[in-house]
Amino acid sequence: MAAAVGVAALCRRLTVALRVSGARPRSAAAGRPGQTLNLFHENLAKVEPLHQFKFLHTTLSRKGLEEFFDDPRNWGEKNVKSGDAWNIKQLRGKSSEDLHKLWYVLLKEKNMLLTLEQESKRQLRPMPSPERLEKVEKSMKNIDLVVREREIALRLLQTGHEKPVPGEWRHDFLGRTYWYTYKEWPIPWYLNKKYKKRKFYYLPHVNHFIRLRLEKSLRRRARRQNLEKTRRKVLERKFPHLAVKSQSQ
Amino acid sequence: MTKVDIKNYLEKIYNVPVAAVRTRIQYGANNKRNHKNQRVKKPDYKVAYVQLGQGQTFQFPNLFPEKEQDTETRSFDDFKNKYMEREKQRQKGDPRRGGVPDWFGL
Repeated sequence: MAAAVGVAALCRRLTVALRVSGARPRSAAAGRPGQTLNLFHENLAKVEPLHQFKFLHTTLSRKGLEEFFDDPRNWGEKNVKSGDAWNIKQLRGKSSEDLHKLWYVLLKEKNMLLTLEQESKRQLRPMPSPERLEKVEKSMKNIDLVVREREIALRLLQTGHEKPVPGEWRHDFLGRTYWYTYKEWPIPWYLNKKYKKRKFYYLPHVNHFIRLRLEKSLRRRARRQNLEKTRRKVLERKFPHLAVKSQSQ
Repeated sequence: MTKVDIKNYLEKIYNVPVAAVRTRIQYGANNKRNHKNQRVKKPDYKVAYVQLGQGQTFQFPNLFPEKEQDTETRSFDDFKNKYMEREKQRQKGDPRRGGVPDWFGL
């Protein structure tokens, strides 16, 4: 499709613009008055999250298969420097087009890191700086969250509904409460034999087991919180200078 | 991902002309056993053979070429070698015995 090809071309231009040092964005933005890159100087360090400090040639890579491997100067290195992952707060400030382009940049970076991981397994060598993969995953998850938030906001404004498909809270025969989404059927529910066999209520003898389940969950929660407290105490004892100073009068 | 998916993916995202794609599913072995003697399965994965179009060739690069070590690693390697030599010297018995172990009398 033309749109996807356009996006791919934009992505390539973006990666090229990002990989060049700080002096470039001004000229890139000036050349295309329609597209304003939201890449200010102070954000440059964050813009390409896995910014390798050694720069490639500035021409677009031909035929794209080189994009499955990172900068040739990084081959054989033990550690490759990379910036932090994208935060949700940083991403909320970006426009949808920027997020779209960033998604594809991150996708290509992830593919590159995965090929590197597989190749290092094949060559029985350690992968240089594997934390890059986690950073990319986190950034992509954050972009997804931001896009979902925007979708929900738009839907609320346009229709007044939060969810795309209506539903309701229902009980199952074990007394558990869950969100039942309505499905589309060609026949009404009172003619649906299989649906009528499903029980969306529970009998009184189940109350005892609901109570047991509740107690179990409370016990698990208490155990988890106690464990966190003890771990924090141990750390505070080991590293007293790093203790969080509680707000005192 | 189907053959069509892979073709579109490479063409749209990587701008690589693709002539043909063939796929197969590689079965991961289930022969290894863990400490409980339960079989541990290696995951199945799909292998795609992509034929590039427009007379292109592709050579998988060597991602781990030998690089000259910097001073830190070199000094560490020197230290390691010296330590190993010292250990070997200590392990060896009396040189006057001509390599015969100490277990033997006299």
